[in-house]
Amino acid sequence: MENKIRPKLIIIGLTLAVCLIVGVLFFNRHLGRSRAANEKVALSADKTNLTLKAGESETIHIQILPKTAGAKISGFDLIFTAAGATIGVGQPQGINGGSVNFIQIAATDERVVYIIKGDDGSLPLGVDLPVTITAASNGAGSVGFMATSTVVGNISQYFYEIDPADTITVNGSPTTTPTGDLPVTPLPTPLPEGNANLNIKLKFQGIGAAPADHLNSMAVRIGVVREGEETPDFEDMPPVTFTAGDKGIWSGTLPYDLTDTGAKYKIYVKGPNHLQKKICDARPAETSPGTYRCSIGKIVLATGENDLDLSEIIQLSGDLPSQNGVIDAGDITLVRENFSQVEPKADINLDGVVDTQDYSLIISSMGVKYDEE
Amino acid sequence: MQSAKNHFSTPHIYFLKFVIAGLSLVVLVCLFIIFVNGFFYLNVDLLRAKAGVRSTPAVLPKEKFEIFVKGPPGALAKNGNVVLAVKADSNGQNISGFDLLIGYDNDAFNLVKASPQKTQFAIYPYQRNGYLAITGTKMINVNETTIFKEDEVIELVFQAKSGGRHTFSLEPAIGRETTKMVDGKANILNVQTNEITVDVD
Repeated sequence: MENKIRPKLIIIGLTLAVCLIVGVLFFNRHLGRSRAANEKVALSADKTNLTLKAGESETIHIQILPKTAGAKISGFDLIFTAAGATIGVGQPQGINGGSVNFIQIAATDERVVYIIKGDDGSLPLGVDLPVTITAASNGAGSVGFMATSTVVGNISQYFYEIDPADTITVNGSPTTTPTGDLPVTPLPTPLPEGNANLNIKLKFQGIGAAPADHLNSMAVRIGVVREGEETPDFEDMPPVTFTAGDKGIWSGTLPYDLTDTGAKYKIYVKGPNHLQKKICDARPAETSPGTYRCSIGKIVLATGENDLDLSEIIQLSGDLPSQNGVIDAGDITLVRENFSQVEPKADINLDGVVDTQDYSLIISSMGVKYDEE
Repeated sequence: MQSAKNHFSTPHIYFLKFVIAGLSLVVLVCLFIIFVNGFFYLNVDLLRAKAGVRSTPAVLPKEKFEIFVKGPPGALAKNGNVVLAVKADSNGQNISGFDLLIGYDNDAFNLVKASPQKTQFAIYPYQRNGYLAITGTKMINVNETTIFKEDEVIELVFQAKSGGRHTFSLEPAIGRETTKMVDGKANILNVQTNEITVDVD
């Protein structure tokens, strides 16, 4: 009887052993890798400054490349931000990959989601994504990525951390200004377009003098709305380049196409490290820093030059990149964890280093916490 | 009978054993393929969850906040106070800050007090329409690592204004705000959340 059972047991045993070995190999291949946490991926463009007339387009190539040698991409969810420009995303291509099989999960004007089907051997070491950028107008424009974009790959934690330093900004015309996500480089003085120029002066919390030259440029989003119209989303407001004078008063010009000279206007201001401020007066004032509030827009605009001196009120700081309209633990921790570092995103007072002054500024703004609407 | 048994135990039984072994192999291979595909679709689900294609994330975060009733037990009398608390587990991560969004009916409860339960953290409560936003940040002079292990982080005292059954919920997101932890490198950690009900007589 034992002789009859033994072959069966041997066959079953061998079968189980083969499956066990295959299973172990699979685990070893897909799950057993132990790489350092927070593996990073860079998003970079072959061109970061475009000069386009209104309606003109140019195709750039965005590369998604893991920073760890040998790490590969198995999917991505990129959410674009576009101001003053429109974008169109083309078919992605693998970089140094074998037979890459891109499967589109979702695609809109501002979001593209692909997964790449295949095993480790056929996954690409990077992705090349063609993006066509069209200037919407001759004003300022920019294209960037939201922080909620995601890249996944064959790494143990699936999700790559997108290195903020490599997030790109693309300028859409000769008059463009970069967004506040990166240290900004002064661009040529904007050429006015439209029939009105809004010459705006601003004062920012914690900045009492002109910063060093390499920091003396700030991309501030400015929204102009007629009284009664809805509050604009700050991401839709065009960025305008401001530079500071000796007393820390920042100046910039927004070209504006004025269609209704009889209307009253409100202006929304959102600095790159700041909460959004609603302003209803051409020369607003406040008795204590940060206390100016208003409800009804009273600003009258005319064709030609309009001087708006908003420097008697301060723009409260605290909503750091990537901005979400609220000061939260992410913003405060960004400052706290970068003490003594050169981190432009957390250097609120633009003195070149992150320190307790920056921390004090952000904490003092916690009493307001939210963008004004 | 004996003859039939002997007849069945010769080459046929080896053939039968061979078939059984083969079927076992096929079943195991099938199970293995399902297992592999499961991992592939897990990747897809992760991306779909991010893209909003699915409403339920395929993988729950291991970090969590949990709101619970600290006291008193049983139903609450109108105008009485209920003490709620939020405990946290950071799954071994060093935490430098957190945000909590606690949804509740402003017309049914008044917030009396919000107190930090971890001495290393300062909190900044902010009442909004329909929810309470609390930001917690590690104090500037604290350099030690903080790992939450089912630790109470916040205690809240609410006064009941109206009767009935009411919900207090830790909201994952409201508008652009989120309930989250922030680690020592300023990375955002999504968290599991929950909700509770409180009965007021």
